Amino acid sequence: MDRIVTLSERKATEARRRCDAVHDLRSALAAYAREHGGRFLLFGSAARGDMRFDSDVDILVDFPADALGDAWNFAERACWDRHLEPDVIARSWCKADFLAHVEPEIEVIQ
Amino acid sequence: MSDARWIEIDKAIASAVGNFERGVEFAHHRNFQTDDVIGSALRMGFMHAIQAGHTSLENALLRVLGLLGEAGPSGDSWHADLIGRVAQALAGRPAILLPDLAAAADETRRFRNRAARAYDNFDPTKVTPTIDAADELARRLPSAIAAFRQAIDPPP
Repeated sequence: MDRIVTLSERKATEARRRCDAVHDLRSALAAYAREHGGRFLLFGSAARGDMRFDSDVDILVDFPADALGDAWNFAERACWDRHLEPDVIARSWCKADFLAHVEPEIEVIQ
Repeated sequence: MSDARWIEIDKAIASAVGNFERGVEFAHHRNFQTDDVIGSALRMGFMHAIQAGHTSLENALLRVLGLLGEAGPSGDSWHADLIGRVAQALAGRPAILLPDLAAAADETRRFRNRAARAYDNFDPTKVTPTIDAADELARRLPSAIAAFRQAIDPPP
């Protein structure tokens, strides 16, 4: 029998893969943001660089109203293309207390 | 004779329309933004109605694809891909939803995804595009599906 790959090894591998995928995701989001005049705000474990094997990618979309839907779709698709699970929300939809809570760890991508 | 499966499709569309209409009604209620229990109930009702409306719409669209013998989209992005698919004319069939109606459906999809994940970090009173999209879908879905039916399954 081949060497058994334990669950903890599998989880560690997947967590590393997700971190690497987010590194690649940043470039794609930045290019889109520059081209379309907005920004993406990464927060949570993806921004901190401590993703788990099952972590999703928290993204605030901060674009003008007429470009918001397309930017949201782009962020989702960019995650799915990299086998990441997106958790996207428009910054303009957020409550002030939620924004204040995540503000310290926000990574601006533009 | 027309295919009997239109009965379930029409039911799903009626459910979508009813839920979208109710969601819009909640959003336009004078207490929608108040901090009391009525305002809270209206906002919760709005979120639930839009989610239910979009789920019924997806149900209808998947049934239409089934009617055509088209496999539904799969994978993590299937909800978004479904909207893209029905907005496209493919060989042998026109688009099921015209681009502007598909854009409205994509808006309610995004809202449902958001509302299903967290109720507490966003303010439903700020989601004007979703309210407008739900209103658009409620008014135009039945005629859009009827037009598609007329094209794909005309009466003999």
